[in-house]
Amino acid sequence: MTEATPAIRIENLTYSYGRAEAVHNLSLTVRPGRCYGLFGRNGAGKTTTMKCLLNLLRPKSGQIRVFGIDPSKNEVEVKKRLAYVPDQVAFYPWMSVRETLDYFASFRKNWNRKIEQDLLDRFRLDSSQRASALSKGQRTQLALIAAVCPETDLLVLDEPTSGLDPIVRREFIETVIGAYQDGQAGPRTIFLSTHLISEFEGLIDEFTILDAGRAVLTLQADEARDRYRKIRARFSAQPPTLKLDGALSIRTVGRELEIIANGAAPAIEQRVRAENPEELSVESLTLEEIFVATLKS
Amino acid sequence: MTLRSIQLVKEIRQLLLPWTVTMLGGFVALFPVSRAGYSWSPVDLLSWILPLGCFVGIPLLAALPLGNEFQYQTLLLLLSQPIDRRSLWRQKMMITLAAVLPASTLYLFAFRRNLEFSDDFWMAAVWIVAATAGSIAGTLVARSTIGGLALSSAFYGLGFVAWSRMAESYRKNGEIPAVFLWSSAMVLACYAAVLVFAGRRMFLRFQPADGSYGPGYLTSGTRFLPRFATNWLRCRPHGAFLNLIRREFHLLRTVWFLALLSFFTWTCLILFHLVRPNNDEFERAPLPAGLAVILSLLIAFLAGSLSLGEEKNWGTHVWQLTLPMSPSTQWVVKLVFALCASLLCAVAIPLGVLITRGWISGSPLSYLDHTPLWVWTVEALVATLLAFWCSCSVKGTVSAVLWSLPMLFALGLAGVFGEWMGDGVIARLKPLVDVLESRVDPFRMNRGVLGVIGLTGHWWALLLAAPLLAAALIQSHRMFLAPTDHRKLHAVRNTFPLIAIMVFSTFLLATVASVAGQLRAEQTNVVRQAHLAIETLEASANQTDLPRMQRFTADDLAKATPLSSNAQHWLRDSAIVVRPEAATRTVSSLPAIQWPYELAFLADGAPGKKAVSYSATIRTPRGSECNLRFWAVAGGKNGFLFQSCQ
Repeated sequence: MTEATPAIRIENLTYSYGRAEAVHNLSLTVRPGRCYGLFGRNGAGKTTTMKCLLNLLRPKSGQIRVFGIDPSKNEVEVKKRLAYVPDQVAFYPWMSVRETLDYFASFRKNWNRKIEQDLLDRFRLDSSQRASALSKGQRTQLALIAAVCPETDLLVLDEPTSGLDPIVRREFIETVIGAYQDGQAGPRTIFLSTHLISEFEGLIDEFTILDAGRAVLTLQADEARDRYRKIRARFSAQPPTLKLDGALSIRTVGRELEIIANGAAPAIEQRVRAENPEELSVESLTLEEIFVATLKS
Repeated sequence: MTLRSIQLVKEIRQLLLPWTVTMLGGFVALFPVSRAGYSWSPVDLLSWILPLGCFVGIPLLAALPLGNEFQYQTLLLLLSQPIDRRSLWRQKMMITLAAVLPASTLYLFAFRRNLEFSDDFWMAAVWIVAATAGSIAGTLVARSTIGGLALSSAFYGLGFVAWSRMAESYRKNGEIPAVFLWSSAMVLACYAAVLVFAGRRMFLRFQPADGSYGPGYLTSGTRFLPRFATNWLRCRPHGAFLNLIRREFHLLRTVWFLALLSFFTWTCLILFHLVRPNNDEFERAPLPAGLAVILSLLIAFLAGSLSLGEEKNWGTHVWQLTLPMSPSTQWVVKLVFALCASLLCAVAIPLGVLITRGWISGSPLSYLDHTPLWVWTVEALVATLLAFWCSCSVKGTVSAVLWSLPMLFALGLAGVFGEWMGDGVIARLKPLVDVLESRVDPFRMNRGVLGVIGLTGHWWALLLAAPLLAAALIQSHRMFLAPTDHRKLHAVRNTFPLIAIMVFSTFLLATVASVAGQLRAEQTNVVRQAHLAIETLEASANQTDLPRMQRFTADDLAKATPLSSNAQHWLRDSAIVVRPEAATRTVSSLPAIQWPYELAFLADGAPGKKAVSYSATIRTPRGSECNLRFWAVAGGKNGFLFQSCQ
C-alpha cells in the first residue's frame, strides 16, 4: 500500500434486499486522514453501505477496497485496521462496563488505557455497572470508547451521536473525534453517517449525499461551501419573479427573496442586483442546508 | 377493523406458527405410531410428539404472549399505551387461553388414545393447567420465553417426579386411589390459581427499570458460583479466543440450569425407583421417565439455538462479526461449544447418573434401556445441529427451537417421499431391471450387489446423513456470516436445499437398494430352481441306488423340473457335481453364515417326496463356481439351503 492508497474505495456498489434495491451503483473514495460524511434520509442506504464495507453484506455488484484490501477476501486484515460503532448498540447483558471493554480489548493488539480511563471519566461511566443497566446514551458512549481505544486507522461510525445528550454530543465531537484524529499513530480516517449534520459541520472534509441508494452529490466540504450560496434580497415591494439558471430553489417570503445557488452564485447575484433590491446578502450554506437543498431539489 | 381486533390480530399473528406446529403435532399424535414406550430409537421418534407437544409445546404457547413482548422489547411500548394494565393482562390471558385450550384438548385426547388413560385423564388435564400457569409466571420472573419455559420445566421435572413417586407408593392392585388423585388435583388447581394471581400482580406492578429490561435471570450475575469460577468466567483484556469461550458459557446459562435440573430429575427417578434395572418397571411409570428424556431433548435443542438466538435478539451478533477475528472461527467456536454442551448436558448427565447407579449395583449398563449408547449421542447431536442451523436461519431462540420441529418433520417427509419415488421409478423401469438381471451371473457374487446388500442400518444412515450434514454445515456457515434476512419466506427458502438433498439422497439410496435387492432375489430364484432340479434328481436316484457322487448337465436339470429361461441361460454348459449327504440338521445346529457372501434360506425338497441332504458344485463355462449345501430337516419335506459363490 502506498500513501496514495485510499482508506476506502467503493466502485459501482449495488446491494438489494430481495427486490428492493438499497444501494445502486455507488462510488466514492475516502483518502487517509480525512473525515468523510455519508448523509442521507432514513433508508437512504447509509447503513447498508457500511455493512458492505465491513463484509457483513455481500454486494450484488461492485468493488470495495479498504486500504487497498478486499474485505471479502481478507476480512480479518481489514477489521484489524478499523473499528465500528453500529447504529444500534448492544452489549452482553451480564458483562460490566469494565468487562465489556476488556472483552473488546482482547481482540486488539493495541489498546490505549489512558484514553479509555479519560473517556470513562468524561462520560462519567461507572466501570462496575452492568451493561444491561446502561441507558441508550450510555451504551453509545461505551461503544464509542470501545471503538476509539484500539486506535485503528479507520473509524466507521453509523449514527454515532444518536441518543447522546447535547453536552455529551459536543464532548464526543470535540474530544473523542479530536483525540482520535490527533493520535500519534499516523493519519486516522473517519467514515461516518449521520442525520445530525450540523454537529459535524467543522469536522467533515468530504461528503456524499445518498438518496434512495443513489449518490446525488459528492463534494469536498470547502468546495461545497464555495459552490452552494444563499442569496437574500429584500425589495421595497413584492419581489419580482425571476427565472434564474443554476438556482436550486427560489423562495419568496413577504418582500424577501431567498435563492439557493449551485455554482452560479455570481451570475445570480448580478441578476438579482439588477432588480435593485434594498438589501442583498450572499452567504455560504451549511452542510445541513446543502443536504436539505439537494434532497428537496 | 376495531382497535381491539387490531390488537388481537397482532397477538394471533405472533402465536400462529407455534400454535400451528403444536396443533399439527397433536393431530399426528392422535394416530398411535408406537406403543413400545419411550426410547431414543429412530422408529419411535414420532411417539415423542405427544409428550413433547404436551410438556413443551403447550407451556411454550402459554409463555409466548408475554415472552414475545420481552423478546422484541415492546413491553415498554405496550405499557405506555393509554390502556389499563388490567385490561392488557385480561387480553393476554384471553389469547393464552384461546391458544392453549384447543391444543390441550387435542393432546388429552391423544393421550387417551395412545396410553389408554382412564383414571388419570383428568389428572393429566390438571397438570397441563398447572404447567400453563407456571409458564406464564415463569416468563414474568425470567423476563424471557425461554426462561419461562426453563422455570416451567423445573416445576415439571421435579414436581412430576415427586408426585409420581407418591402415586406409586399409594398404588394398590395396579390402581391409584381416587382420593389421592382428587386431592392432588385440588392442590395443583390451587397452585395454578396462585401462580396466575401472582403473575397478574407481577404484571400490574412490573417496572422496566434497567436499560434493556432484558432476559431477567439469564443476565443475573455469577454470584452463585464459587470465586474461582467467577474469576475464570470474567473476560480478560488478552486472550480473545478464551473470551469467546467464556462468552459461550454465559450465553448457555439456561442450558446449565436445565442440566442441573436434569441431573436432579434422573437422580430422583432412580431414588424413587421410577426407573429400575433392565427397564422391567419402565412401563409402569413411563411419564416421569419420558419427561426426563424430554428435558434432555429440550437441552439438546437449546444448546444449539440459545447462543446465536440470544445474540441475534440482543443485536450483538452483527457487531461481533466486525471484530478482527475470523467470523468462521466464531462460527466454529459456537458450533463446537454447542455440540459439547449438548453431549455433556443432554447425554453425559442422564447416562452418567444411570450408569453410576448401575455400577453401584454391580452392572453398569443395567439401568439403561435397550437403546445403544451411540443412539442417544447421535440423536442429541442431530437435535443440537438442527437447532443451530435454525438459529442461523431465523432470529431468536424461540423461533429457532420452533423452526426445528417442522424442519425435522419436513426432512422426514422428504425422506419418505424420496424413498417412495425411488421405489416407484424402479417399478416403472422393470424392463430395464429385467435386462440387468439377465446380465448378472447368479453363480458369481457380484461385488456391487454384495456391497449394497451387505450395508448395515448404520451405513445407510451414514450415507443418508453425510451429504445432508455437509450441506447443513455449509449453509449454516453462510447464514452465520450474513445475518440479515430473517423474513419467514427467506427461512422457508433456506430449507429447500436441505429438503432437496434429502429427497435426492433417499431417492438414490432407495433406487440402488431396490435394484440390488431385485438382483439378489433373481440370483436366489435361479439357485432355488437349480436346487429343486437337483433334489428331484437325487430323490429319484435315491430310490434305486446307493448314495454316490453324480454329474449333471443343465439339460438334466431342465428335464427334472422346468427351468426359467434365465436359469437355463446361466446353467448352459455348466458342470454340476452333486454329492449326497447323510446328515440332517435342525435350526439350532445350523452353521453360521458369512453374510453377505453366503446365503441361507429355507427350501423345499422335490414335490411329494422327502427332502434329501446333498452338497453340490456348479461350475459355469464363464469360470464362476458356486457351492450349494442342503441340509434336509430330519424326516421333513424341506431343509436349509446354503449358497456360497466365488
